Amino acid sequence: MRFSLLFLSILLLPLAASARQITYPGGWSFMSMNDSDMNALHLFYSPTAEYSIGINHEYMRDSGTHMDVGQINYLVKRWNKANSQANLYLNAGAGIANKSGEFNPALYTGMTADWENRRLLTAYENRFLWADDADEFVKHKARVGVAPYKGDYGDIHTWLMLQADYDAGKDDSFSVTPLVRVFKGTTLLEAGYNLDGGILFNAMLTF
Amino acid sequence: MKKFMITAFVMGFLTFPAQARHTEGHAHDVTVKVNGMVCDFCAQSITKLFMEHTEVDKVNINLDSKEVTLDFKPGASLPSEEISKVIDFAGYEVEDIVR
Repeated sequence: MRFSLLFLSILLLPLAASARQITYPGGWSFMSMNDSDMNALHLFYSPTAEYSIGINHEYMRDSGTHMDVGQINYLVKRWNKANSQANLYLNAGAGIANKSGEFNPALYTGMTADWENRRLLTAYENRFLWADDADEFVKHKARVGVAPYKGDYGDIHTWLMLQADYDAGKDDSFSVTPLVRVFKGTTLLEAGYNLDGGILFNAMLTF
Repeated sequence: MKKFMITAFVMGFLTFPAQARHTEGHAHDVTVKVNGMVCDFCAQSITKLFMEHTEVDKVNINLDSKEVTLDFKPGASLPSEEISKVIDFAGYEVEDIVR
C-alpha cells in the first residue's frame, strides 16, 4: 500500500512538481528522484535564496529501508559571473529509518558543488548516511552536461548529460548513466538509462 | 494637395495613440544587467520577485545579454537601491542599472 502511494505520487509529480532544493525567497520545490538505488520524494520551502527546509521520504532498494527525515539545505557560497554561475551547498537531515518494521535513527549530511553557463554544466555531490542497523553508506555523484542549443527565456531547455555514481559499499560500486534533462517554466524532467540496465527518472517543480 | 493633407492628417491621427503608448512605456523603462543570470530558473526567480512590487507592470528577460528590463506602471518607478535589493535577495548580482 505504501509503495503504491509512492508510485502514484511519482506518476503525478510532473503535474505538480519543482527545481532546486533552494529556490527563490518564498518559493517551494517538489522533487521525485528515482534510480536503480532508490525512490525519493522531497518537499522544500525556501525562506530566502540562501537556505531551505523540508521533508524527505526515501525508499532504499538494496536494504529495503524506508526513511522519513527533515532536511536543511544551505547555500554556502554563490559565484555570480557575467556568463556563468557556481554554487557550493551543504545539507543535513535527521529522522527515522524503518527496515522490516524496526525503527532506527537516521542522520545524513552532504555537499553539492556546481558550475554552469548556458552551454555547459558540471556538478559534484556526496552524501554520508548513517541509519544504525538499517543502512549506512557514502555515495558520490558527478555530472557533466551540454546544451545542444541556447534556449531563451520561456523556451524548452534541453541538456544532454552523463552521470557517474560511486558507492564503495556496493558490488557494482561504479556506474554511468547517460540522461536527458528537459526544462520549461517551473517544470524539470530528467530521464536516463544506466549502462547496467537501471532506469533514472527525476521530476522537479517550483511554485 | 488637399487630398494629401487629409490623408496625412488621418494617418497621423490613427498612429498617435500607438506612438503615445510607446513613448509612455519606454519613459519608465529601466534595464538591469545581472551577473549569474544564466538559466531560465534564475530569470523566473527575478521576475517573480519584481512582480511582487505594485510599481512594476512588466518584466522582460534577455538571457543572451543577461538583462532584465522593468516596465513600470504610469507615474511609478523603483529606486536603484530597491532594484539592487531585489536582485540581491533573489541570489544574483547587479552589474549595471541603465535608466
